[in-house]
Amino acid sequence: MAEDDERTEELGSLEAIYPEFNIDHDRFSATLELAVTPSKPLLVRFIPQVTNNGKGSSYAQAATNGNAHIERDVELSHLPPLHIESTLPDGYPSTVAPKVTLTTQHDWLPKDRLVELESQVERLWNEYGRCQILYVYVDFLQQAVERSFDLDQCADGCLVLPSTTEKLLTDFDEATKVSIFNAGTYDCGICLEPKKGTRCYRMKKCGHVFCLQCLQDFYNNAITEGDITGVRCLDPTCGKDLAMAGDGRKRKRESKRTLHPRELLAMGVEESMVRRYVEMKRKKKLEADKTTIYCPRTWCQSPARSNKYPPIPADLTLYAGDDSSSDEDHVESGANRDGSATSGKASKGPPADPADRLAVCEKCNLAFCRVCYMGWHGPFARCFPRDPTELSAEEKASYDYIRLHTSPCPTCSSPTQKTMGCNHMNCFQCNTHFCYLCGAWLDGGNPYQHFNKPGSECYQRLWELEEGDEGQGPEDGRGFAGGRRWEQMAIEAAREADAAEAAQLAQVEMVAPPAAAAQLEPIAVHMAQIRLNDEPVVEAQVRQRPNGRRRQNPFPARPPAQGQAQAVRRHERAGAGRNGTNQRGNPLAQDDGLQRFLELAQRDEEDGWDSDELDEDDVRFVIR
Amino acid sequence: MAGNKRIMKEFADIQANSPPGCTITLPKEDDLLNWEVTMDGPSDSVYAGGRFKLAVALPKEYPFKPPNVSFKTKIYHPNVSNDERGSMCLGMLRADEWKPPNKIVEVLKLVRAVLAAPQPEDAVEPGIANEYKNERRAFDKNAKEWVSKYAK
Repeated sequence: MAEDDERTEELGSLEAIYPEFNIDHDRFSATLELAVTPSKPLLVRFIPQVTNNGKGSSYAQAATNGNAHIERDVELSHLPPLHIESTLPDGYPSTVAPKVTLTTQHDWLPKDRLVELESQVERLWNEYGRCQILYVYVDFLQQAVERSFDLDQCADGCLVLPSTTEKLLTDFDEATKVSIFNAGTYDCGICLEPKKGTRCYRMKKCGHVFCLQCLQDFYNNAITEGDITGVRCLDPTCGKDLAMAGDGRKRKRESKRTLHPRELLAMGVEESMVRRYVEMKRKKKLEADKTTIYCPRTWCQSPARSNKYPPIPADLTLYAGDDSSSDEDHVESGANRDGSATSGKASKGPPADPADRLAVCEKCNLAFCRVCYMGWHGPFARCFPRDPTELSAEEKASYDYIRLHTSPCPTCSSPTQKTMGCNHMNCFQCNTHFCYLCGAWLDGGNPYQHFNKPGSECYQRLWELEEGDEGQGPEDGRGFAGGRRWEQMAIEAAREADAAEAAQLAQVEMVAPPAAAAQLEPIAVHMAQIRLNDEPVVEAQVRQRPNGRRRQNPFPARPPAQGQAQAVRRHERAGAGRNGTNQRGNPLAQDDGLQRFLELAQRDEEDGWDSDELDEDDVRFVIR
Repeated sequence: MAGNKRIMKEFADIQANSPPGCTITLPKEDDLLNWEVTMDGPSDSVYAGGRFKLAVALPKEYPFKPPNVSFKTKIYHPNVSNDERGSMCLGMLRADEWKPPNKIVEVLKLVRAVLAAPQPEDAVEPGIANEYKNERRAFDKNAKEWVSKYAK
C-alpha cells in the first residue's frame, strides 16, 4: 500500500506541475504531451519516397536510391508534441523501473531515437538510486527538446524525412506560430494602440507587426491612388539596410520591395483591390519595357503575349511577380535602353530566328508579325520593319470599312457590326448595352426605353436598318453613322480648316518670296523652287519656323502640330501607305536633305542635328 | 481611419514629453490638424539664440501622408525655402519616404537636427547651399544676421 501511496503521490505532484498531465489512477499510468519548440529552429530536409520507412533513413541513402532527389530544406520552429505515456508498475519505485512509451504525431521523430530516449528512464532511475523518477525524466526530455534531440548532430546535419510529411509538419509549424501570435498583444505603430494578435498582421519577410485596420486603410488608399510603390512594409526602418549599397540605386531598391498580393489578401484587403494592384504592377512593368509589342489593331492596342510578363492568374496567391528578380530585370533593361539610344532602333530590328516574329495579342488574340505588324504571314515570308501607325492599302480599306459600317461599343470601343435585327446592341467584348444608331449607353434592364421616348433622337427607330447596316437608311441623312458620326464630322471640319489654312499660306507665299532661299547659290534656289511647286504648304511651314536650326532637320516629316488640321493631315498620311501613294513623303524628304546639305556646305558647317530631336514615331523616318 | 485618435494621442504625448527646445501648441483648440511649434535654435549652431515659429500642418490623410512643415520665422538655411512659405522637404517629410509609424516628435527632432547640421546636398535653396559649402564664413555671418533680424 505504501507503494501505491508513493505512486499516487508522484502522479499527483506531476499533475500540479503539468496541468495537462492526464492520469489513469486505476492503472497508475499517465500521459503527457510535451510541446516541441527547440531553442533554435530545426532544419528538416524533405526528400521524395524514402523506401525504408524512415528507419535509419539518411540523405545519403536516399540519394543513392536513384530517385529524383528534389529535396527541400525547411526550418521548423515548432514540431508536433512528444507524446509520453508512462506506467508505474507494481514494485515501483524501489524494485521495478517505470515503463515509458514515446510517440510523435506523423512519426516525425525517428524510431531509433525514440527507443533510445525510452531507455533513458531506466538509466536515470538507476542513477538516482531507484526513487521517484518521473519528474526527472520529463525534465530530461524537456532538455532534449531544447536541443532538438541533437538531430542536427547527425551526419546529414539535419533531420531527413519523406516529403509526404512535409505539408503536415509545415502546417503544424505555421498553425502553432499563428496561435502564439494571436495570443499576443501588439502596439500598432500607425494608430498607436495596443491590439490583440488576432487583429494584427505580421509581415512575411521582415516580421513587422501592424493592426489589420490600419494596414487595410493604408493599402486601400495607396492602391486607389495608384501609388504602387507605397505598397510595402510600413516600418520606417524596413528596407533601409539594403538601401545603403549605393546612392544611385538607393531609391529604386527600396521602392522595389512591394508586397506580394498573397500578403494583401491575408491581411484582408478586398480581392478586387488586390487585383487592381497586380494589374497596375504588371502594366507598369509592360509599359516600362521598351521591347513590349502592342497589337496593331487600332481599337485594341493591347500588349502581345510575353513569357516575361505572364498573365495574371485567377488565383492571385499564385501570382509569380517576384520582386527580387524584377530588380535585376530593371537594371538590365535600363542598360539596354542606354545601348539602344546610341544604335538607334536596333532592338526593333528583325529577330535572329524568323519564327520569333510571331506575336499574339493577349486581349484580342490577333496573330501578327512583330516586324511588319501585318497579320501573321508564316515564318518564311520576307518582311520589313514598319511603323504600326502606318496602314497598308488593305488595312486602310479594312479600317475604312470598319469606320463606315460599324458602331463602336461606347465602353470598350470594339467595333460592332449589325448584320440584322434591332438597334439594341449587346457588346461581344464587355456586354455593354448600347444603341447602334447613336452609341448611347442603354439600361440593360429596359433597353427599349431609348427608342420609345418621344423627342429622343432615336425615337421609334428601334427597327431601322433591320436588314443590317448596309441596308437603306432614311432619306434625311440621319442614317447609320454610329458613334463614328462625330468623328466623321470632326474630320470633315478639320479638312475644311486644312484647306483654308493651305490657301492662306499659299497667299502669304506669293506676297513674300522666301528670303533664305534667295541668298543661296543658283542651284539651291532652283531646288527650293521645285519644292515650292511641289509642296507649297509644307515648304511655307518649314520656313516660317522661328528656330533656324530646327527647320534644317533633313526629315521634316511632321511639322509642328497646328490644331485640328495637322491632326487630320497626319491621320491621312498614316493612311497613305507604302503602295506608291506616298509620293508626298520621300522625294520631298530627299530634296530637303540635299537642300540642307547645300546650305551647310555653303556655310562650311557640320550637321548639328541631334537625333534626340526626332520624334519616336516619325512616320517617314521609319519607312526609310 | 485611425487619424484623429492618433493625432490626439500624439499631441498628448508630445505635451508630456516635448523634444528639447520645442514648445507645441494648437492655435485653434478644435483644429487638431494645425500645430504651432516654437523651436529654439540649437545652442551649438549659428541659429543659437534664435526662436523660430514653425507651422506643422497635418493632411487629413495623416498618418498615411506626411505632415507639412514650414518656418513662419524667416531663416537663412539651405533646406528651408527663402519665401513667405518657408517650406521644408527632406528625408522622411518626402511623400515617397514617409511611413505612417513616423511621428511628429521624430519630425521635429529631424528639423532640429537639420538646423544643427544643414544638408546642402538636399537643398531647396541652391544659392545658400553653395555658400554653405564653399564660403562657410559668409554663410555663418548671413545666418546670424537673419537670426538677430527676424528670430529674436
